[in-house]
Amino acid sequence: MKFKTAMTLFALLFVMALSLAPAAADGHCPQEGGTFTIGVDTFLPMDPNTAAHDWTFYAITNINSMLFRIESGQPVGDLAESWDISEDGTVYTWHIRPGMMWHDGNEIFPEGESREVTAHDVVYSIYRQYDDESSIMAADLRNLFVSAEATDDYTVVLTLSGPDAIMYDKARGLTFTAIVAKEAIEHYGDDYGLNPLGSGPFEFVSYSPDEEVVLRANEDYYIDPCLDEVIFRVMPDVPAAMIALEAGDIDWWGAVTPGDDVGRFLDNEDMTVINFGCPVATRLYMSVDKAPFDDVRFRKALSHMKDGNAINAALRGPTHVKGAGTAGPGVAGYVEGLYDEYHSYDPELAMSLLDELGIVDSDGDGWREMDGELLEIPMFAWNSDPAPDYVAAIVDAGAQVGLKIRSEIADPGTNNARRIDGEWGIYLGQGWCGEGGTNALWGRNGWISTLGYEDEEIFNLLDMSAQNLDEESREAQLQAATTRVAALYFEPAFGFFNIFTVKNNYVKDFFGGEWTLNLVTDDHNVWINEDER
Amino acid sequence: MAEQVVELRADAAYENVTRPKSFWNSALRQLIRNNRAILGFAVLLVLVLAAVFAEQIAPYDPIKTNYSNVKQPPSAEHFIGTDELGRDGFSRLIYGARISLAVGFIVSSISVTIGVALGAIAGYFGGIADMAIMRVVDLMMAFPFLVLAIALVAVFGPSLFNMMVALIVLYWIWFARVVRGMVLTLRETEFIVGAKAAGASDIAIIFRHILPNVFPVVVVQGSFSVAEAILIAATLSYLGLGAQPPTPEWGSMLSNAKELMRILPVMSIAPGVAIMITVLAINFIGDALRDALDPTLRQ
Amino acid sequence: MKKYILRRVILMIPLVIGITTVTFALIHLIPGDPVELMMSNTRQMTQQEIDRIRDKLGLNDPLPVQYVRYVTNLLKGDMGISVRSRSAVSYEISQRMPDTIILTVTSIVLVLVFALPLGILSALKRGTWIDTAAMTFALFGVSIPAFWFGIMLMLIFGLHLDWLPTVGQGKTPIEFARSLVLPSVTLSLILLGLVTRMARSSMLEVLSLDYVRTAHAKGMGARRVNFRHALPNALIPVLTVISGQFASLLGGAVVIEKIFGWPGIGRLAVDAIFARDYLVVTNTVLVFSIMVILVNLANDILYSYIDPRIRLQ
Repeated sequence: MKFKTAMTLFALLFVMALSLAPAAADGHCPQEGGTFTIGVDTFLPMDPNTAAHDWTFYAITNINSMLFRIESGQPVGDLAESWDISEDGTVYTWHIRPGMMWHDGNEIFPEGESREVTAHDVVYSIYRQYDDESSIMAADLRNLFVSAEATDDYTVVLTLSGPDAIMYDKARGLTFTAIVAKEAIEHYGDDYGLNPLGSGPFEFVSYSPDEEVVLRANEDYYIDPCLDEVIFRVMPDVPAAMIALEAGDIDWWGAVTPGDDVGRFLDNEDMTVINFGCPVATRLYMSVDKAPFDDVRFRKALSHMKDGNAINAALRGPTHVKGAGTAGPGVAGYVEGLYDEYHSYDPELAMSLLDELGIVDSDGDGWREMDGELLEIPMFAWNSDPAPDYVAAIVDAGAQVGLKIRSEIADPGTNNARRIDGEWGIYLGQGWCGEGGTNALWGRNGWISTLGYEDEEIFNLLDMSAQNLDEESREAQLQAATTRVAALYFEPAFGFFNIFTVKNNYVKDFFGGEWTLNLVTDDHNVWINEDER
Repeated sequence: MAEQVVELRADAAYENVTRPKSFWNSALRQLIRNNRAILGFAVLLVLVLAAVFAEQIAPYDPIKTNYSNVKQPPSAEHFIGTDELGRDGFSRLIYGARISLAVGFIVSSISVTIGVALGAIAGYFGGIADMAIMRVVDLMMAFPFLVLAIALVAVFGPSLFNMMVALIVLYWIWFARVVRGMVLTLRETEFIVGAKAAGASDIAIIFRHILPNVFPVVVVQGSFSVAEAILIAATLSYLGLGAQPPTPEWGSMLSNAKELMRILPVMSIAPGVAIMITVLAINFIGDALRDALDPTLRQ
Repeated sequence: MKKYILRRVILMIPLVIGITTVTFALIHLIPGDPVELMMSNTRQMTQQEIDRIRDKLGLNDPLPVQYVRYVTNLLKGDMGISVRSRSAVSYEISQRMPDTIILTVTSIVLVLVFALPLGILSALKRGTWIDTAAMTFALFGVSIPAFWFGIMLMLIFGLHLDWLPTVGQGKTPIEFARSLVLPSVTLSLILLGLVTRMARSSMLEVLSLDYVRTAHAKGMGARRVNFRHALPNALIPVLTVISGQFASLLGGAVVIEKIFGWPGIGRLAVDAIFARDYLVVTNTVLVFSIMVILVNLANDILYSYIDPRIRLQ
């Protein structure tokens, strides 16, 4: 297997209960049947072309077969039994598992009248993504795509224009690996997402918007699922969902768990806390093309005026991870010690930097002026927890050094619009898990940063690393990029937080969602111990 | 959200055109006899004092963070504990009275002014003015209140000020409707027809005869709307559409405390109770005012 | 009567036009773009790609063009496509409508069952401790922030006592009824207070009327006077209040639906405002408003049957 580098992206810490649970890899289940109820905060119709939400993918990746799945950070086979990648990393040859059947007993395929999933279906699915103008297929993949061909019923050859070092990253590859049936797409048209049909371990039963999705076991799957039924229940209010989880109304909370609840669940012996294994950064960014943010000393002052680590620890609770940078610990490009070197709490330093810049309090009202006028900086953030708390912390930190900061929290749509308009001010930002975070801020592959984040050297490093298949030099390039971002104080950091999901202990052989939700694979087959429920 | 209902008993209420002093005296007497009203006034007084003297009463700065002392349970130093940023919950609660009372009274008094003015104009002059005002009223009445409030705040951009503007935009219609209805009835009464015949100007009639008659109902409805504006403001702040951090507003404190609910329930309970007590006190007063000012309920 | 109804229905038309226009304008005044917002959740796209999707969804056309298209489609019975879910808006609304109606109607039933008797009782026992207790209760009802009350109920009955499910809807009828309890109690809270007070004052007023006094004076049994003569007349204004509160119940359901994970249209409307899902917002508000107008109409008609003194013209 090549691309081990890429896989470090997904380095995972794992479940404590895992070793205790009997494995069901040989296909027999310690206990058959049962319903696995999953709580998520939002859910949309299940068309891989348009579903722009992770939790929806959790259902899609169980209804549709995937070319491959991600498990313990590694790609593992599903519809594709195996695959080869050419030496230069541009040609992928996927070998399709024979005998995979589309779900039957529905409008498209009556009971017993299904057909086998072939390489042609894979090619159809890829082109559907590629051709459909409403598809949300990611830009960089679209740019790299050359062709997909079925050389026979069980072989697909995918050609890219250049090598791609993070082919398996969700943001690039996942949607197009969800394989859909042409018959279903043509029959349902725009309503396909309401009637998804695939060849995965679970069949679609029903969907009611904002409420729930019901799936049942597909007995024709190449592994027999232990579960009878999987239900996704939509719970928009997270505190309410935490209560439901504890009461056993849901078996697993699949979305992000707030820090304080993680702390409580860690102490609860009926619950297992599962680390998603990909720390996410919280940081500031700003309109760096405008004064005073265009001066590195001002950005440095912003970075040192706040006690980022203490704020992050207070707000993230047990999910807090100390550090800084676009990549977190365990993710490619992570550099240790960036926080202490560039972001540590030092209000004295911040004040002297502001003095040096001529941003001083000359009228004695306690607030600093720039060019004779009060410098009042808006800080933009979205309006759900814990973003307003970060803003409150920054307003307070600013007051300590005489910098007047005005909070401007708004709903995500307005907040997003402000960023896209490049409004002058400070923004609260949350990174991506993996390398997407760097790209979000830094225009790459045509993504334009409206805030003026441009730096030739960083662009080059990112571009080179994206196509670099050599593990060691790629890591070095990414680390160089991360370090440069920190040294120029482009992203004053608070720290990272780990994404935790929580399950009840009677759910066995389950290790949490990654980019794909793997309930039934060669190594795992989730089952419910009804006696413990 | 909920429209407070003040019944109009036109026939009974308008018999005395210029209300004799005894009306107000007996209303006042009745008010003083009402235990709930006294309790309401007492609580409101305490809240107003807390709001005015927040700097002196609050033991800590409500926006000062202290990261070495976060999420502390209630103690002698921190009566209701500290929040996720180590701010003193009790101090924030006291400063919160300032915000909530200000929002309630400002929204209510401006809405009353606009609503009474437009309602009186519509009812008294009729014609195009009435048409125009009432069409706007009809239109706004048909909207789901909270959805419209949320949309308005989203348009203006969330802030305490914009939220108050949005609430005023929504609230004046209640007063306009009530006042118009009363003015329509009053206009036909003998004394106004008489005053007109005697050559009194429209302005004089409105100020001399109409507004004093409308006054009791507006006072009652106005006091209820103070209570309601406080509730709606808390709801909008809870949804992240009102006060900006770090403003210590009760609704946003509740929203902040959501995630602490299980480990520090007092943080969720206290602002809720504060809202409830404030609103209850004002409603006690409003209720007593209605009893006192409504002749049909008098004994 | 038929003429009256017809006139009222015709009068609805300008109102409905006004509502759609105002909502359409309002929602487009909110800064932000649905496609950019959607993409910012998961994947980054270039401006070119965002434009491609906007084109497909018709969001790049000038607003007047979009408005005309919306109205013409609406007249053809087509509410358009939701940007967020990419399914038909009519589907999104019709899926949630029953849930909202069930929740609202249950709350109204709760109000009728608890608030009416309480209000009447306190009027009959005026001045006693029963009256005081009932009125204090009523004031509590309108003074508690509903969203907070909901969370407290959930904590107490859902978690600590574990009597009732906390969120979502049950599958079987019994489970469904159980899951309906907390949201409907929370929703009915405000109206409980209002109606208790209303029922009381309305009953008091009727009791003070001449014919009731006369009936008492004639020596008719108190029970008979109260229930045969006074009660029906006292009910009329109460019914008006309840139907008048229909709109605020629908509106108030927004937060409660969100907290309890109840899949209704209030929550749909608010989620859609935040997602800038323009057509969902306009159409949901339209449906809301038509419901309110129709309920008010029905109320006026009903009113004229109950109380012949009121003549519809």
